[in-house]
Amino acid sequence: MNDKIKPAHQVGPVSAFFIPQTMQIGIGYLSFQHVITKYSQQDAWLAALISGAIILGILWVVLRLLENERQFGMPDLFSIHSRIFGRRIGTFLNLFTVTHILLFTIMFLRSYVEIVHVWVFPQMSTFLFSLIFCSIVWYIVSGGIRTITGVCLLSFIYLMPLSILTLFIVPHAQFANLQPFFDHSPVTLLKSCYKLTHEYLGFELLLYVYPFISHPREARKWAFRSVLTTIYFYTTALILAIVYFSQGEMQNTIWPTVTYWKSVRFPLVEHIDIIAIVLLLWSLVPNICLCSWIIARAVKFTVPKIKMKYSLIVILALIISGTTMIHSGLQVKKINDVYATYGALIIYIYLPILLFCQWIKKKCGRGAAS
Amino acid sequence: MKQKAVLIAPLIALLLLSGCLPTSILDDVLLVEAEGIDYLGNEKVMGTITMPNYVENPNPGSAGAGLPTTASMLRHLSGVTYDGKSLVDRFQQSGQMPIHVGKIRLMLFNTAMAKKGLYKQIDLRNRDPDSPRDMNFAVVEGSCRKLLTSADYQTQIPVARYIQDMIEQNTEQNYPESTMESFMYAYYGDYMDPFLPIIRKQGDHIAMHGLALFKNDKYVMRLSENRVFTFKMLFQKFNQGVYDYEFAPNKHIALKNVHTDVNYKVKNGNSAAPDIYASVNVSAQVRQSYPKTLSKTTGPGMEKKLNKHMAKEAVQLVRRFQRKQIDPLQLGQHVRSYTRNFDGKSWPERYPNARFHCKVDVTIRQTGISE
Amino acid sequence: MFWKNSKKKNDQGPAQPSKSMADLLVQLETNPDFNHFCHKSKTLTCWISFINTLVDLEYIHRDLLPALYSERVQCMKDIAQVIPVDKLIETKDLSVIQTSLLDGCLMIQPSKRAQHVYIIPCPKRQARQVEQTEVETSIVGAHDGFVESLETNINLVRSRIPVPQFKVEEHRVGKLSRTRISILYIEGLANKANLNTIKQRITDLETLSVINANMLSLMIADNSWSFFPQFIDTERPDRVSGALYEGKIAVLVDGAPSALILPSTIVEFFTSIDDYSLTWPIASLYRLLRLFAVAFSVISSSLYVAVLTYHYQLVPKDLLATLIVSRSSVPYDPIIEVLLLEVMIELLREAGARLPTKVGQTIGIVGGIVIGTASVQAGVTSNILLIIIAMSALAAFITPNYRMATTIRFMRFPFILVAQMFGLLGVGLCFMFFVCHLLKLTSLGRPFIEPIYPMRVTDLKDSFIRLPTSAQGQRPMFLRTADKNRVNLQRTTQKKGKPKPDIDE
Repeated sequence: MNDKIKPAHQVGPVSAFFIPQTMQIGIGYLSFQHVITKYSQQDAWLAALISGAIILGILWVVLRLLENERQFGMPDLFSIHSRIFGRRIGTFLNLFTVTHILLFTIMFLRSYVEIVHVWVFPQMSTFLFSLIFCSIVWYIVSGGIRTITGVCLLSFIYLMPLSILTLFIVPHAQFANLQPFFDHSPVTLLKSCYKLTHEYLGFELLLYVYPFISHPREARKWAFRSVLTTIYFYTTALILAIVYFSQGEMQNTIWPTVTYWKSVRFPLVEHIDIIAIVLLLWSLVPNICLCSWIIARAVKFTVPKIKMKYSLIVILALIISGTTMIHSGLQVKKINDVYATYGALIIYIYLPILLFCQWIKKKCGRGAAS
Repeated sequence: MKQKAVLIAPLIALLLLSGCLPTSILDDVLLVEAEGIDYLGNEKVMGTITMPNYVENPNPGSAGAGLPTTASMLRHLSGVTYDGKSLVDRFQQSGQMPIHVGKIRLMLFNTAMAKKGLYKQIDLRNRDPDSPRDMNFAVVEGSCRKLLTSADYQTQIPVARYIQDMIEQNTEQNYPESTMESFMYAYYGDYMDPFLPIIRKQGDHIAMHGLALFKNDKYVMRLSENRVFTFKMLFQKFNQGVYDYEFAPNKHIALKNVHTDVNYKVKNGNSAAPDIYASVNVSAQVRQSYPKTLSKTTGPGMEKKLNKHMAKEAVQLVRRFQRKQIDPLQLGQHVRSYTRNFDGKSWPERYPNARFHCKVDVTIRQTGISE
Repeated sequence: MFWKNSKKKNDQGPAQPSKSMADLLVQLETNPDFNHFCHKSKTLTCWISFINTLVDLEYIHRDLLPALYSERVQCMKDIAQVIPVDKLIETKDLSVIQTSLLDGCLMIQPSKRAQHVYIIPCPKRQARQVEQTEVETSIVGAHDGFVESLETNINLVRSRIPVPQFKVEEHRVGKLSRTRISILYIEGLANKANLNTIKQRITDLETLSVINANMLSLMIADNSWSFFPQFIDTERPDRVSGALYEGKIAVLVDGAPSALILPSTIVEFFTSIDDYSLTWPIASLYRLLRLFAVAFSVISSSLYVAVLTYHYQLVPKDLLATLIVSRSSVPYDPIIEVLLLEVMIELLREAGARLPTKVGQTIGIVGGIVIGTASVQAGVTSNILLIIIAMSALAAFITPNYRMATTIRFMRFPFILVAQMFGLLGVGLCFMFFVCHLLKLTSLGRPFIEPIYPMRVTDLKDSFIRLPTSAQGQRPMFLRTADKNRVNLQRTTQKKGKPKPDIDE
C-alpha cells in the first residue's frame, strides 16, 4: 500500500462534511421516532441532543486518533491497528471493524428492500433488486473515492426535498404534545440515547477515508459541522413527529415518517410516500458505495496482491447473497439490533481504548527512544 | 469491451425474462371509493363497496376499444361477511377487474356498528399502507347500503364523492375535522376520545345530522347540529361557520364567525378535581338578526348576553361529556401538558370531577350595510 | 482470441508521399486538370505546374505569370525579387512539394524533373458567403455563422479578438483527407496542460479522414461511448470568441461550419448567447425554464408509464377521472401506447429533417396535426399522452446545442423501459445510473459536471442562474487559467464620485 495518496485521487475538505452526513442519515430516519419515544415520550428530542453531544465528543476522539497517526504514514484505522498491535492482531482487529461495516451494508440494503416491500412493491424480488443495485454500485466505486464523494454530495442535495416535506406538518401540529418539558428521569433519557446510537453511527467511517482528504485542518471543522447538521435533522424529525402523532399512535406506527408523508398532498400528486421512498435510493447509494470501497481497501491492505477491482466484485457478491438470505421482517429487526449493539460497542468503548493505547505507545516509544 | 458485453447480455436477459411486477393499470382496475358497514348481529356485517363509473360519457367520436360507448364497470357490490374482514378481499371474487383500495374516499358505519365497537375496522384501516390518510369516516343513521346504492339522488356525481365533498365543506364550517388522521390520533392517543360526523339520507339528498361521540371505539352520544359550533369553538381555531342564538322566544340572531380562538389553562392537574380554564375569543359578523335588535345602544348588551349564553352552553356540554365519561375535547391531553408527573392511571376517575370554567368573549365586528 | 491475429499492420496506405519528383509528376500528369508547361521567355526558362481546379487562375494569369516575363528575371533566384507575392517557399522536400501542389500552389522548376523548386501559394477556396446561422439562432445577438472555409472562420474570430496574444496553430489530420485543423487560444489565459493534451490528441489521431467537427469531437473525446457530448460544437463566432475570452480553447476544422470549444461543462450546453443580452432576473428564469424543460422532457413519458401501470395512488382524486376516461378507449397497456407514440414522433422528426424544403413544411403540419388527432379519435392513443409526448418532444429542443438535444431525446427510452419493469423505483435507478455516469465523465480531464461537483460556488453564479455581470468578476475555476480575474475587481466595486445623497437633498 502506497504511503502517500496522489493529489489527483484526493478529495477536498468539504467532503468531510458530506461523507459523514450521508452515512448517518439513513434508513433509521424513517422509523427511529417509534423506537425512541417508547422510553422518553415527549422529551425524546432532548435525548437526541444529548446523544448528539456525546457523538461530538467521540468525533473529537476519532480525529485525535487520526491526527496522531499522520506522522507515521497513512492516517487511517488499518495503519493504526497494524502499527500499535503488530501485524497479526492488527489484521484481526481490522477484520473485527470491517465485519461491522459489512453488517451495516447488508442491514441497510435489506431494510430498504423491506420498506419497498411494505409500501410500494410487495412482490419485488430481493435478489434482482440487489443485483441491479450492486451493478450500479460497482460502476460508481470503480471511479474511485472522487466519484463516491460526488455521489455523497448529490445525495445531500437530492434529499433536501425530503426534509422540506416534513415542514408541511406545521399546520397540523399540536404543540401541546411537547409539554411538559423535562418531565422524564435521566434513566429513561439515557435509554433513549442508547437507542439513538443506531442513527448516529456512520461518522466513524471518517477513520477510513481520512487519508484521502486534503487540507485536514479545514476538514476537521467540516466534520464537526456535519455532525451538528445531523443532530439538527434528527432533533427536528423527532419534534415534528411528537407534535403530529399522539403518543399512543406513535407506538402503533412502525414507520412514523413515511406514514406522515402519506398524508402530504400537492395539487398534482398525492401519496408522496412512494416518491419519497424512491428518493431514498439516494441515501442508500452513497452508503453502500463507501462501505464496499472501505472493505475493498481493507482486503488490499491485508493482501496487497489482490487488486481492488476484483475484490470489489467478490464483496458485492457477498452483499447480494447476504441480503437475499434474510427473509422476514423479524430477521431484519434482529439484524438492526445486532448492528446497533456492535456499533455502540465500537464507538463508545473501543475507540476511546484505542486512543488510550495510542497514547501509551507514544509514551513508551518516547521512553524507549530517550 | 468484449468482457463487458459478455457480462451485460445475460444481465439484460435476466431482467427481461424474470417475472415482472404485477401491474395495476389505471383503467383496468376497479377503484373502491366508499365502503359501508352495516351491523347485522352475531358478528356479521353487511358490507357495501362502491366503485365510480367513469365511462358513461366517453370521448365523443372515440371508437372505444370495441365496447359499446355506454359500457361501464361494476358500480357497487354488497354482501354479508364477518366483522373485521377486509371488504376488498370479500368482493374480489365478484370483481370483473382487480379491486384496489388506494383511492378510497369514505368509510361509513351505521349506528348499530358504531355502537358495537369499531376496533376491528380501525385496526384494518391502520394496518394497510395503501389507504390514504385523508379519507373520511362517518356514521350513518339508517342503512349504509341504502345510502350508497340508491340511485335517486338529485346529483349524478358518484355518491362517495358527493358525501366526501359535503363532509369536507362542512369541516370548514361548523364541524370539526374528522379525517382518518384526526380519528386515529384521537383513538390511539391517551386521554382523548374520537368523534365522527353523522350523515343520513333525506329523500333525494344527504344531510349532516350532528356529531357522533365515541368512548374509545364505541358510539355513545350524539351531539345535535346546534351544539356542534360550541363543540368546535372549544376544540380548535377556525374562521367560518354560523352560530344561531335565540335571545328571546322566536327572536334569533345569527353570528357569522370570522375568527375563533381558544386557550386552555390547567391548575392542580394531579389533584382529585383539576381546574380547567378555557378562554374563547369569538370575532363575528352579523348577517341575519331579528329586525331592530342591533343598534349602537343594544349592541354591547347583545354581546354580553352572547358571552354568558355561550359560556353556559360550553360548560353544560362539558358536563354532559363528564357524565358519560367521554373526552372528545381532548381535555385530558391539556391537563397532561400542564402537569408534571401527570398521574395518568387515575385520570379516568378524576375526569368526571374536573371543574371546567369557560369564559367567552364575543366581538361583533360589523352588522351589515343597513341599520 | 480469434480476433487478435487478424490485425495486420496497416502502414501501406495510398497517401504515402511519392518517392521522387518524377513519380509525383507522373502520377499527377494523368489528371486532366494538372497543368505542367514550360515557360520560355527571353531571359528565363522554367517549368510551371499547378492544378488548375485548385488555384486562383485569375490571380495567376493577371499577377504572377506576367511578372515572369519581365526582363529582370535572369535566373531562378531573381524570381523571388520580382514576383509580387508575400510568400515564396523555396524547397527540395518532396512531401512539402506534394502537400503544396495538392493544396493549390504554383510550382516553378528550373527543369522538368528538378527537385529544387519555388512554390507560390494561390489557393481558391469555394465556400459560401457568411450567412445566418441555421441551428443556433439568437434573437438579439449577431446572426453570422461559420462557413466551410477555414480562412473565413479564422477571420470571423480574429476580428473579435484583436490582441497579439491570440494564437492560431495549424495541424493536418487524416491520412487521405489531410484536413487542416486549427487550434485557437489566447496565450497567457489558456491552461498549458489543456493545450498540450489537445495537441497531443489531435496529432496522434490515426484516422482516414476528418470530415466535420463533430467527427473530430467524437475521436478526441474522453469517452466516446458516452451519450453525452463532451465538447460544445457551435457555429457562432461570437460564442467562440466569448469562450476564448474565458480562457478556453477552440478547434476549427477546414470544411466544417462549426467549431469545438473545450473543455466544457454540462451547464454550458444549456446556456445561449441571448442570456447575456437580457437582464439577469429574466435570464436566470429562462435558464431555470430550460432546466425544467430538460427534466420534463426526459422523465415525463416514463412517469406516465410508471404512474399508470403501478402507482395509481399518486394521481390526485379529481385528475383520476380525466385520466381514466382518456385511457378507456385504448386497448393496450400504457407502455405500448407510449412506445408507439414516441416512435411516431421520432419518425416524423427524422423524416422532417431529410425532406426537401418544399415538401417538408406540409408534411410536418400534416404529420403533426392530422395524425395526432386521428390517432386519438381512432382510440390508438389517449389525448393526455399526446399532449405529454408533444410537449416533451418540443422541450427536448430547448437546449441550444443540437448534440445535447439528440442525447435528451434518446435518453427517454431507457427510462421508459425501466419504468415498465420496476415502476418509479426503476425510474429512480435509471436516473441514478445516468447521474453517476455524468459524475465519472471528464471533458479533457476536467470534471464534466463541474459547478455541481466539485462544488465551486463562484462558478455557480453563471450556471443555473445568471447573476449580474458585476458579480461575475472572476473566470471559471475549472479552467485553471493563468489570469483569474476578468476585470479589475477593485474598479468594478468602487463607489464612484460623491457619497449618495439622502432623499431630496
